[in-house]
Amino acid sequence: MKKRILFACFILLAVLFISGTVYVKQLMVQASETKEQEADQVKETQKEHVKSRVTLKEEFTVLKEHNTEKKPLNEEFNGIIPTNVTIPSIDVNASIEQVGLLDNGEMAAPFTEEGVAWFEPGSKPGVKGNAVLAGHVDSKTGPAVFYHLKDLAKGDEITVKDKQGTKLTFVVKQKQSYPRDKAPLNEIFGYSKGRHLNLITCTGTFDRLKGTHQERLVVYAELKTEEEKQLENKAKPPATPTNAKISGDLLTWYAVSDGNIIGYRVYKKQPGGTFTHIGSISEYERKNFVDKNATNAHYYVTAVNEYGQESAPSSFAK
Amino acid sequence: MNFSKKLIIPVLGASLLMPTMANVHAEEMKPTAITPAADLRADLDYLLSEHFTLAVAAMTTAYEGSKDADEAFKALDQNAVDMEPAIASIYGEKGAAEFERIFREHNNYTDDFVKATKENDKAARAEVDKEVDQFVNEFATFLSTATEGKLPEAAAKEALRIHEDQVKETFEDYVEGDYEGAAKTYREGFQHMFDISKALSTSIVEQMPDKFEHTKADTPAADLRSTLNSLAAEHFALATMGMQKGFEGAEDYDYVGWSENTNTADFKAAIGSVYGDEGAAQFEQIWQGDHISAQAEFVSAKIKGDKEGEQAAKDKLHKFAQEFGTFLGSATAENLPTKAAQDAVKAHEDTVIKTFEQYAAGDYAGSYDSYREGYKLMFGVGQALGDAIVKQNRDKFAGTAMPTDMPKTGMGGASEQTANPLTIIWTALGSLAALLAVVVVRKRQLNK
Repeated sequence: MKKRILFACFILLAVLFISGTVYVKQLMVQASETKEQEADQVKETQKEHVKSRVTLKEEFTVLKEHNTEKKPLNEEFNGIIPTNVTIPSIDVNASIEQVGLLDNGEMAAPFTEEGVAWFEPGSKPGVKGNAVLAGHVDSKTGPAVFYHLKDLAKGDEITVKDKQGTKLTFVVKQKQSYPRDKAPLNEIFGYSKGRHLNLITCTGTFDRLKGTHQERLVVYAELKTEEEKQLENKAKPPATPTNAKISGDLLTWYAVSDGNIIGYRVYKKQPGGTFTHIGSISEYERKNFVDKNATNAHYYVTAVNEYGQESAPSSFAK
Repeated sequence: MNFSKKLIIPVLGASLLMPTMANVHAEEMKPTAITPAADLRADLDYLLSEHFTLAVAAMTTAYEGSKDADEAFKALDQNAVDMEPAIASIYGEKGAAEFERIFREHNNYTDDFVKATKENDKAARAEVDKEVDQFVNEFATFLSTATEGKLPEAAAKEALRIHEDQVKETFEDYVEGDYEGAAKTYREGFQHMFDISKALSTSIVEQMPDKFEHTKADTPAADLRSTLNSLAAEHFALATMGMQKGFEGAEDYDYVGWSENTNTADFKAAIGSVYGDEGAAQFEQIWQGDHISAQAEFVSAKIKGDKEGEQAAKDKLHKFAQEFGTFLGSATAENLPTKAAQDAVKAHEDTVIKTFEQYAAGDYAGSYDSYREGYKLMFGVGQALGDAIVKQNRDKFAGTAMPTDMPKTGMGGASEQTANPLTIIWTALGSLAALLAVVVVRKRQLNK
């Protein structure tokens, strides 16, 4: 009996021991799991990049006068603000002013007989829609800038440029005269699938009573096929910044000069090996970043262009 | 411009025309960076290197048709006028007048050259080149004659030739849009002025050993003072130039930043040569974040009209003055007192801010006045910091302990004084007086 009791006690103890061990193990696994979860959460917050909390506009300041590069023709292209128009076949080379609507709802006319007006509330040249330019045909004393517009023929080219030198070429498709009050405004000014440029001037006899010509001549042109095709191209991501270097607590690098760069992102290596975005520097600023905890830290820098495209990382600064 | 003239003459007077102080120094046994000869070198360092910075500024602003172009040229001209008292104190009024005639005139070539470049007028450019050649020859002859051949004519010619080439090269690189090249040549051209100054000052001192109480302009202590002057002054020139370019959104803004970074590296190396790697690392840590970067942040805030940002940047700069002053005080074991260092650094930051703020407000005359004031201030750095380092590390600069190394042209044989106990007492008294004088001078310098 004694033996059995002893045996039973032994069994009981063994069972208790085993179950106890299993239980404790279980507890430990659970604890470590929560710990891991917590750690994951910490990692998650660490991983949250600066850029994910702000818009591109908030992240970088673009100073207008710095934006001096030509705009490349690609799928990100969103038209130009025209400042110059040339029509070689009728010897026109004129600067462009922006006009809007008059109180009576008319499109305002250019201020000078030499100037051409772009209807600013309408489409920009190069986007889908109808961009409209208007010029005088004559003045009291003689011919004005669009005097020979009527001589344009299908296939003639019209070139518009912006301040930065971006050039768009439009090809004449047709021309049409309308009585002053019967012009199809929607066709001339409205939305269209194609990228159109329409030129307007006066024509017909001068109605002295109304103080204007009786008819309007509209020349319809469309973006040149080659340029239209270029607009389907993907935008080129920016080049990578070079010479990233950390000295003391100051990270420096060389700027990327081409590609309408709006700024740079600085990434720092975190424990665990991932790099997180810790700050941004706009294009006009000094190309440096101060990090007070720079001891043994690793960094890289990327360039960001106006479309928000980011370059490949620079070589590591450490 | 009267303002800056007033400021400069007393200083030159103090360093060049105080025979009593010079006497004291001659008796000094302990190495110091402040001797009549080192003072002469520092004065020439200051005026010649400032000439270079203003010449480049005058040319590039004139080329760009910048609004501050006239003021840049006026400052360049005033710099030449300010050299006159220094020359007069050595070679008399007549010598000074002749110096001014030759030197001041050559500043006009900068303007002619810019005009010829702008108009792409090759004949006119060749004409200016010829005039510059004439200047080099005439001025080299003047310097060689004045120093009685101590500065050989050929050496003078070469030094001047290099200077003229560097100014021209910097400008031409700039015009061609090779800003990296321009920045590099600028640094070299700037540095070359200190070489000219060394050659000229040692020649003058050799020529007139008595006037400089047998002190020398090329001792290790004087070299250190000159090195610190060049680094500090270059920092100021680059900082103010960079801030203006940043504000204008100039295409070469970044390249000034590159030069600033190399200037920092050189400064770090200089500190490292005295205080080791740890000291150098500490210097670098303090120098950049609240200083170099903060100056740029100030500009960015100004561009955006962000008043808070401007204040934050200014606060950083003032914090830097405190920290850097503390660093210098403790590094030099208070041979340069912390408080004095802090005040001096703050005065520097204030001139940087003022130069920029006046520029941004369109007060170009005021801006160039502040520039010249701030530029001059940097030569107190070499004087105060250089001397503190020398005093702290006498063994390192021991080569300058005594003027036993008589000039080659000297009479020699005056070496028996060491045996005379009276001389020793005399010398000890002299040292004490010198120390006192140094403290007074430094205090005055820092109080300014």
